[in-house]
Amino acid sequence: MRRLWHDSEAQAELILASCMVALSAAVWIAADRLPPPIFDPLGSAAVPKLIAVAVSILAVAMLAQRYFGVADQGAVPDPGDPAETVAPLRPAIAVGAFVAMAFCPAVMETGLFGFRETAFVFILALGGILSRFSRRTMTILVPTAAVLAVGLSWMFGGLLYIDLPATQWLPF
Amino acid sequence: MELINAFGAVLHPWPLFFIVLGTWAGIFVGAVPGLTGGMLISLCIPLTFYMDSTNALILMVAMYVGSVSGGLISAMLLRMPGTPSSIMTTFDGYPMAAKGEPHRALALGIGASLFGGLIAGAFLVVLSPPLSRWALQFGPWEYFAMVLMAIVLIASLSQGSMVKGLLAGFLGMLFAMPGFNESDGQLRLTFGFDELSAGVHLLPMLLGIFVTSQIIKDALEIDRQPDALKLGTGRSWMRLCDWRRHWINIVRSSVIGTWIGILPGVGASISSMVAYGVTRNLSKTPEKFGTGSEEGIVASEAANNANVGGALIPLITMGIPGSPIDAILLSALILHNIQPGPMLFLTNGPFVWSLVAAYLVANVLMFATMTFSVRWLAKAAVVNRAILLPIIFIFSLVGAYALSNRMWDVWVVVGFGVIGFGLERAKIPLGPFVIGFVLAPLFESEFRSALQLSHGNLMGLFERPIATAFFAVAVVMLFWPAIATIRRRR
Repeated sequence: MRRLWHDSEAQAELILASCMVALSAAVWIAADRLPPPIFDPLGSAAVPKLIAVAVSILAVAMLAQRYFGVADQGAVPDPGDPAETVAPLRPAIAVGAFVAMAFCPAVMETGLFGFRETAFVFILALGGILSRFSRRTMTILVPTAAVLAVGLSWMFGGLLYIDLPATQWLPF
Repeated sequence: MELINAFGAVLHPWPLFFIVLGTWAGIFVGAVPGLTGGMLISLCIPLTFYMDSTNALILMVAMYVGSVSGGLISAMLLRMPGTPSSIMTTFDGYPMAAKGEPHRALALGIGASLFGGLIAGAFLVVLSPPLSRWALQFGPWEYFAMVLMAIVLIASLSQGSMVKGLLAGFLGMLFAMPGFNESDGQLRLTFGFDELSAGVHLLPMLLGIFVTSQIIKDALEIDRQPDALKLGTGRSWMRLCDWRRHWINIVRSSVIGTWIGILPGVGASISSMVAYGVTRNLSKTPEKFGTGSEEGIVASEAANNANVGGALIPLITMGIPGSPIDAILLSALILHNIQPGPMLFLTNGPFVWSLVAAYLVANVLMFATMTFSVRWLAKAAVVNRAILLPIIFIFSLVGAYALSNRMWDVWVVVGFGVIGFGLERAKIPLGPFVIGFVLAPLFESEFRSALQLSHGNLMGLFERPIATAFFAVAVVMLFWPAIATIRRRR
């Protein structure tokens, strides 16, 4: 098991392969419930099943390569990263960025706030997370967020007639 | 004649404005590490819903040309390739710039890019009409075999592991399966979500894969701030003696880039790697490669720009994307109600020639822009990502929402962002994923039609010579790594 978990690439492979096998199983089960073909020899279930099997086999093959240490090289080897300096990774900031991005549609879905307000807060939040709320960046972000939130809301809603979510309880 | 008329059409103020805008935007995005051409073009699609389809596609083609070229600025001055296709440029461009010759490095790269683009443009003009006429003979078996070949090719020619390339391709196909099946109207794999009845829309998937995942990746590597080399004063021109010294390399690398571009699904980064490798093997001074070799810069940049033109050939003649960005262009064509495929030349000839003309004009504009404004572009490459990334996400959110006025598509953007990020962490390439997703409906419908024609007999494939040839290439490419390993051991 240690061979499959020793670095971030191996961990990502293991997690993804597990998800892919689970997804393939779900697709197989759902496809199996489809009615048999009427008009053609294949029907609607055959190709999804075929692809689900291929995904499962390849996911397992990827793990097997990792386990036995026999990673294949395609026709073109990976040239690697040419950058000399490797900066430390910031998983907390990445998680924060993801939460901010997921928060955005979640807030609009509740109907509590519309696009204009959510966009304003989101730009400040994500920009703040990425810059660790540096004063210089935030000083630029506040007017930028205000202009963009109002401007895009007007442009897409008023000009291009895209029905963006609006805050119902605000008078303006 | 048609090309001359097309030049006349694209040099009118509006189309020309979109070519200039697209080329500039592309160069800027290409120059900023962490922003990609795929990201820019995906974001741009919703904004073009209200535009004339010719202008919309002209804009995107110009963005494509600009983004591939712009990557050389950050590759040479920051040691961070602005786009994946500039990785090979970094290996020689940065050392040469660091030795005090940044203008010379840039001049070689920009000049080679121009000629790479123009040589590929010549192939595009000459090869596209006969290829599309040839493709008119294709039936379901040919299309099925060609898509199969494309998927195997992208997997076997993607960087690193072939298993991972194949896995990405099939996973992309799996995500394209839910929804109404066009062949028999059967609703499938919705898992109780009504929103999945129409399947996973292409645009939110692209925005997730190219935009959201990149934002998460950039956030993870936010401390990776490049130290930019000082450009100083000087001219970024290639001198006559440089042209004389490098013209064989430029032509050879451009031809390599174009032909690799024509292979379905293989992107510009592969072209530059292959051209770089060939040039090193043929060089009298291979030891200089990686330390600031002029030949290395020229080979990489000529090939990656030539790839753009080469990759447009299968797109406009057969409706098969030559690279991940071509998959986005393919989706843009469909969104603008233009049916890609061999009939495109017959039904929309002036439109196709306008794209070709716009591609050639964009290359010349790219050369002029980069030559005269490289100093400012170098400053733009170190733009504050904390300001840029939130704005980019807001645009992608609106773009996805505008497609059907529903929040579901925004969730798809977020979801595919996580998938894309996970795939990149596991070094599973995103290109095959996108191309698998785009080609899956074609693969299934042609496979089913072909089997119907052959009364359920799979051997029907081998009764058609072109289909058999495509299938044979797919089989050879699938087993090529194993064959190569055995040959090496001997």
